[in-house]
Amino acid sequence: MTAMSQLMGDEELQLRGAAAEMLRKESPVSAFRRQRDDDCQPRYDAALWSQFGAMGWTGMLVPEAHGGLAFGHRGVGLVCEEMGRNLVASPFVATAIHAVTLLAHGSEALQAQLLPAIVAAETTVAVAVDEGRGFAPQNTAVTAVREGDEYLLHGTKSFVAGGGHAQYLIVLARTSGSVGEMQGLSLFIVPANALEASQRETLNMVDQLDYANLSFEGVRIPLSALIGEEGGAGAYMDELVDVAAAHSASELLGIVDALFDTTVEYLKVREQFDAPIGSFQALQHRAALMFTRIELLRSVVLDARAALDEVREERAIACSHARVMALEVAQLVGTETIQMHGGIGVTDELDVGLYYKRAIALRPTYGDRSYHRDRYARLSGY
Amino acid sequence: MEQTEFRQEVREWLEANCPPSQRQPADRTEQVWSGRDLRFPSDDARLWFERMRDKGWTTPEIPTAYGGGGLNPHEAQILSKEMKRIGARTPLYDHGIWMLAPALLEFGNEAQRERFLPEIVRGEVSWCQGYSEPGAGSDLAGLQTRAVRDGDEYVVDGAKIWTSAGCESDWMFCLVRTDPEAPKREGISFLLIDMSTPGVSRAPIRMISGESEFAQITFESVRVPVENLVHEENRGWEVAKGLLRHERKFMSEFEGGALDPSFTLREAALDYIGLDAEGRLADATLRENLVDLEMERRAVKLTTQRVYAQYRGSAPDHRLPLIMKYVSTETKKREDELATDILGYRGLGWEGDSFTKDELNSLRVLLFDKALSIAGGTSEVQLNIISRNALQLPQGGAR
Repeated sequence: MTAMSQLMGDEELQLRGAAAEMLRKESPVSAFRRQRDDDCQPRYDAALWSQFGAMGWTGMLVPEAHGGLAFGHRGVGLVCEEMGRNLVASPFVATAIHAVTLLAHGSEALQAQLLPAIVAAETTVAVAVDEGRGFAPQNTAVTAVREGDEYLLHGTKSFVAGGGHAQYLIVLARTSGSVGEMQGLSLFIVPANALEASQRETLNMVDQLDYANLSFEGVRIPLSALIGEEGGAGAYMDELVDVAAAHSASELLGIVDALFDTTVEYLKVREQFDAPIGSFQALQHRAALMFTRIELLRSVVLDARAALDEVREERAIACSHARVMALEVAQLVGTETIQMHGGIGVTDELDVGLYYKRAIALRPTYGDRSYHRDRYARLSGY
Repeated sequence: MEQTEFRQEVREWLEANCPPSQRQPADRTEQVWSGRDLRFPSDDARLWFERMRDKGWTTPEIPTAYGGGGLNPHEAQILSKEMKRIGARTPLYDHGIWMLAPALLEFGNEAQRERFLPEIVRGEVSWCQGYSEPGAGSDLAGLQTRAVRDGDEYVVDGAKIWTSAGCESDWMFCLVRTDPEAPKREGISFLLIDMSTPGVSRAPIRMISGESEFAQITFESVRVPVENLVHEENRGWEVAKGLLRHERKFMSEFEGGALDPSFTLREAALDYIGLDAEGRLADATLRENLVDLEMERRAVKLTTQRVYAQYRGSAPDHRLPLIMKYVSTETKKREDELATDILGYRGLGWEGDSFTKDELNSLRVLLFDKALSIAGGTSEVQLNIISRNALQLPQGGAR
């Protein structure tokens, strides 16, 4: 833990400013509300996605050799924060963070094929891991069986974020071993059009974003679709867990900041008993407590991003910590924000509900609170 | 780089000058406290003190003109880190160092600085703080101790309570009421009182920890020369506020007292509870509690670092330091509670050879640390400050 990791450099401050301005202008919460009300499909705005590319954000984790900026996790985290703050719907996280993290293990040819297209925001990728109620890669039952110069896939992935519209799918499948083991897992890249329409069941979930159940029954892919070592995906998944944890924490931090600002503002203007309700100590102390939790969270999230960039030994601890704390603080601030708004807090008219729903949708992804608390304990030797 | 050079210089000097015996945690009996009867538990402690004193590093940030180290805050932090790195003991303890000296630098006149600062640096006089009164705790500005001007003297009557080291200290810096008619914060002055003046009496207060860390002090017609007034008459509240910031900073950075057990909670858990066949802590609930506590501690530590890092940046967030006293003291209390859970019966020993020193200390710390979130502005006062100064919430509603 170095103190400098807690300070933002000029480059980062500029990036934050640019991201905040662009997203506030091009993708305010009202835009997401409109997409939801009009049931636009896909839920994200294609023009906005192109802008993510033009701003260089899609290439932040991509090596320069493949057209990226290699700006790193500090940069990506800032974008995620601003996305959370503005409740932006985008394939950014699945494509430019999760998929790019896994593709780094792919062959040179695969990287040359996909990474420049991602940098240019010309393609989208979804990562299909989960099969049950939560994140448990060791329980992967989807299989990939080698037949000649092909793999034959078998089984179904559930709740795949971005799975309804992504052009490519990265699929975690078992090439050996049995359910319950992290050994024998492999990753494959599958063009989404390899699936029949009937094999994609889109889901309507609480945050009204794009999720799908995907049946890979009978899908055949070439050997070149294998990402990295056959049977070696366990280690790649562990890395993805860190990355996904840090950046979902970043997104949650942005959500929490937006909710808290709204709440403090409301406490100042809402009057009851002939006084602004923010003058009542019962509410002041709850607001002050939220502030302390949010600032502690901010320190932990900044540290997790820095730990990823610096490839620190304790990065898994840092990332799991950020994830656990972000989920706790999001629950606290989400429920308190609704409560402090009183009756209007439970109406759809207020954006508060939209933020709350996005926050709870981030609970199971790449490990829920229990998963990461347990991971933290194991990493700490108990 | 200059910083790197300074760090190197400090490291080499400490290496050459800090005796090996002074590189391990000091328990209560091994600490060196200022005072007219400055005493040393060992020759090494004396040597270490004298060497640090001669560098001015007993008070790193006091200007060299007064015998201090003349370091800027960043250099002082480097010194502190380098001392921690080798486990070097704090060479001298005194409330004057932590609180009065910064206040004198900000508000004292030149004569006061010249008179009091060199003594503080050299540990020749011990100081205590006279703020709280039996009727003025969280509502500090409601204090009633009176100081009435009589010629070149003030005549002081009243009582102070919760005075740390009050029975042993040579001098007290305190708040007194000089104008009972003014609004309560505008009638307070900051006065320095020699505790050997006739009319001062003191009594220890026995605490739940068994310690008598605090004292109650009474003043009966105590005569104090007017030159002991710091800042202007009736403007003592400004001094008090500045000084409270130092006190809270000190309390939030306080990394455990002399009684803190030498084990970490994780070590204690592994030792007293142990691992099951799968390599997990055998008590699942305690395992969860330990995860929570370790995360909390880590978050507080990272936030402390962020506060410091900010001071070096261009636009520090002034709201951030306001949370530190609250979060660090509340976290410390949680840690103490968990330690007692982990130790079971062995953590309940009051005294005697049946228990290890760490076990006994663990219990005393549990009890002693309850004061952390009361002294120096209660946790509730801290939350008031956060809601007022960080969140700018409107004041004046129902309390």
